Amino acid sequence: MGRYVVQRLLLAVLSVWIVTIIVFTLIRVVVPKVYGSAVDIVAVDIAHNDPVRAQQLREEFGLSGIECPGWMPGMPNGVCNAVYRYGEWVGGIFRLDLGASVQTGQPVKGEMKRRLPVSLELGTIGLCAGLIISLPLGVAAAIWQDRWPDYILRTIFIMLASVPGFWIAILIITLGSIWFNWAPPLNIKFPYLQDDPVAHAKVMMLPAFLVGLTPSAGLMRLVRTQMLEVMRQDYVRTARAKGLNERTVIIRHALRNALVPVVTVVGLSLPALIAGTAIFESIFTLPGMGQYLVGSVQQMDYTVIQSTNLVFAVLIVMANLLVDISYPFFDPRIRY
Amino acid sequence: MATSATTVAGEFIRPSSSDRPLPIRAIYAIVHFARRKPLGFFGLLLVLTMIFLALAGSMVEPYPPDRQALRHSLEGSSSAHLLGTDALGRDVLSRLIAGANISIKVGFGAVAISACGAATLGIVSGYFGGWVDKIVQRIVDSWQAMPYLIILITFMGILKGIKSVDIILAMVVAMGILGIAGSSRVIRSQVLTIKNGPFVEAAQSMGAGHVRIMIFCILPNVFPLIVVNATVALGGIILAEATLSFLGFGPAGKPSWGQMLSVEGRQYMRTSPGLAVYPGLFIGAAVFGFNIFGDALRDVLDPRLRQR
Repeated sequence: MGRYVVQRLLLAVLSVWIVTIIVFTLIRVVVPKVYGSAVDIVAVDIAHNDPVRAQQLREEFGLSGIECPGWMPGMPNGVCNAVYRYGEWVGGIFRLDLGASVQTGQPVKGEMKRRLPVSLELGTIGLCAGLIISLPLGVAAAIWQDRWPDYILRTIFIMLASVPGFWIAILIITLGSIWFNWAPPLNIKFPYLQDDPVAHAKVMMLPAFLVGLTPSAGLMRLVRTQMLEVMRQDYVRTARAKGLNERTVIIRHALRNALVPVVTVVGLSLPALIAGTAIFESIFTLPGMGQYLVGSVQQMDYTVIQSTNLVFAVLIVMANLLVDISYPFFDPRIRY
Repeated sequence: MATSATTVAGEFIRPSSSDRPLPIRAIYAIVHFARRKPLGFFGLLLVLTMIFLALAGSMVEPYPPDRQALRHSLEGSSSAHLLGTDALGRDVLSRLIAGANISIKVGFGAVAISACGAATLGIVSGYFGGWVDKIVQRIVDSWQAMPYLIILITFMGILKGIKSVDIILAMVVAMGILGIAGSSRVIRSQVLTIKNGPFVEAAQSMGAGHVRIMIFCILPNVFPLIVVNATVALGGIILAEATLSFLGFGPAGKPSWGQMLSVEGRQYMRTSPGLAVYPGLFIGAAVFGFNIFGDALRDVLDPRLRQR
């Protein structure tokens, strides 16, 4: 077990490292090549009207060119600059210093501290909602295989998997306001959990449910096929022959065994979950990480783009690690 | 060894009909498919309709999609405008038809890239096994775990500012590359069973090289799987394209379904809900079509399911 976890941790670090390199290259090397300097993108006017201030900005945000030291003859200055700045960024990460937003000048770390819990909450509640929807319905579809509950459930979920989640959100908002005169609470000032739990729950309820809805379609389908397979196994017949009642057979003997591949798919649907939080944060204007990223990309706030991508990579890698470690809990046959 | 085309056709046709000319055989195959998989056939019809709309484009649009008529803005359905008009008086149906073009372009383009990549990666990784397989699978692991929408947003957002970049092409390439990992897994696992087949051994004993075996022995056998994967993946890519356009990172200035939902749909949904409903229905129908057609194809083509 210990060796396995260490192995996975090393791979996780490797994944995050690759993400940092890709994002850094894209933002710091590719973009300035096309646009001119990165400062000129984020502060075109300043750079245009006031070259002195532009130079100051370059120094401030670590964009001024670095010349190659004497012991590296023949190296182009651009390469040294990129390597130096990358080192600077990574060094900052280890000191938990993510730099300041180019647009607002506010430290990115403080902003993240406020936004990360919102996204984590959204994702976690969404995943729970997805499981609460998909597990019972998947089991039900398997129990009544090829009868009308099965057909209805399957049709609903195929359709659910086909329409975009944001469209469902728009429909709920529109039809809610037309038919029931109801609209999701406007959050001009977002109520944080610690400030106003009731208002917070009201704002978060619908988006969290919607985040879970899209992955639940695939999950239900998988639970159904797994249940069908497991229910044909010998040990389920044995359990029935022992005279256990049907509920015990289904829950204790069949469902628990059917859940092993479901855990894998929960792991695989994490990217979809994160995508969901990003989409619904944008629609419902929730101050989370996804909204932060969308806003920063629109404004080319590159320190924020770098940091949000890094945090997302770390999050997803850690969640995958958790999924991997949780296998033996569901299936005692699996040992590391 | 039968090539993929004959295995596909042979599945549908009774032996007696195999001497008929090809067009008639194709019709037989389609009729047989429609009988065996009515839902899948319905999906095929949806898919074909969408492809037709994308190809015919301006020929079937009742109005030019960008023609504004402010006097007729936000009208409901009428005989002149079947699905009404948007805030600038543009015909919604024409814009939806024009939107099919982008979805199909992005979908087929990205799927072509990811299918080629996945086939190469899956076949090489599965065929060689050993340390090649181990390294490739670790890479695929982390590739698959990437938060794809986050990467797409970052990538498209940055490229959007560059004038010289074709944004649709960028989208196709980005989505194609992101899609490689998932389907390469499935292909690899199929290759693992195929490579132990007697025909591979026969080819080896005849002195065929690795590349030759991979292209002429393995590839035809995983080809049905590649087609099935690509069909199902198309639906996902159309959804992703709509999502990106909805968030404002799609091709600007061209009508796309996601963009219609975000800009016009959200603003006027209370007064004319059709603006929000129809684009979603089009996205849903397209994705639904690809999904159920792909599922039916899988039942028919996937050798693992066929044996049961």
